[in-house]
Amino acid sequence: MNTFSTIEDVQARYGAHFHRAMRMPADAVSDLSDILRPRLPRRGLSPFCRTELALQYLGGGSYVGICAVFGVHAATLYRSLREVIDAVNVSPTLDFHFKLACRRRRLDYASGFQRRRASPFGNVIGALDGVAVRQEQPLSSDVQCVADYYSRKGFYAFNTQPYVTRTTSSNG
Amino acid sequence: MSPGASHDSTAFTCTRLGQTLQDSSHELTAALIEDGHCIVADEAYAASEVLALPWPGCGQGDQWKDGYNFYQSSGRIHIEQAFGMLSWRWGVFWRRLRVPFAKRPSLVRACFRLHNFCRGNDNARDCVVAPWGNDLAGGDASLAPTDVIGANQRGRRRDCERSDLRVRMTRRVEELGLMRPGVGSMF
Repeated sequence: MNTFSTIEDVQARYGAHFHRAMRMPADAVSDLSDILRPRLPRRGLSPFCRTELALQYLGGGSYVGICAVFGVHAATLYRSLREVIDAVNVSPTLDFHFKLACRRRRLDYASGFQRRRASPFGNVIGALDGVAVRQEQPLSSDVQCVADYYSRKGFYAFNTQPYVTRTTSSNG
Repeated sequence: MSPGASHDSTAFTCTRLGQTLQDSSHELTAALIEDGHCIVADEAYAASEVLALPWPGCGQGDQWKDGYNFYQSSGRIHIEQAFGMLSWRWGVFWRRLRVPFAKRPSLVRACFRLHNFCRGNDNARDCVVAPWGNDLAGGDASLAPTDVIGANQRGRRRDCERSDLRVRMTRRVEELGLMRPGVGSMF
């Protein structure tokens, strides 16, 4: 576990697959762990290690594999995941920057949209759509009506409503 | 985030942005309408002065409505690409979410935020976008302008939705003489 305290160790272990495993380049991972550091517990695993555990899980890793590589217990992985998710959601640096109220920003979005596809409309500032996020069947103790979560696509889901401006996406 | 069985339009109305945009007396909505700014969306939503929707029924034979639909939908491509990038990047979305129910919305939100963070950090190397620039439209035909639905065309409930924004944008397509590429010969 201690061998995974610095980015060089992890990079050495993963080699060329680092980007594939963490879903972002090494400098982005260290930037991210610096952003999250004040909001992660000081004791126990280093913020860097927690960030990596969470990133690997979000990147589609199985908890079995991650725990084996990092030498941690599954409970540690899930706790780190929860802590990192909470830290990401409260960090103002990582907030969605879709600011409709500012006119200058809106003009910026509009020109970005127009430039990307040579669109005849100069007034489009965003695009909106819904996505069904697949999930396990919710427990009847968690929700009032389990059937509410069964989507028309044939699986249990959340209906998430994101909008995008230019190349960045935000979640509404 | 709404339950999966809810309609897109309902789910959007439940969000803060949706509620703001519905209320035309709201400061933000008024500013958007004044500047003529809008957000493009698909047929699942209700047309309004800030949400630009495609004309129902492929424009029902009107070439300019059809042209408008084409350019409107190429604006919607961005959000579909964003979904593609998101689900490609975060493998948790490849299978059903297995974390406790109460933590699922925050997990999804965190993935969106981290995606934006990656977009800010990554450069062209990691950029997954479709090749652009080969769908530029030409076309200089002009026919009699129609904004009303012909008597012989089937009237759907959606046709009753008033959206001056959509009419204005269709007129813009018409002024520029832009049609859906490849259909010019049909008219």
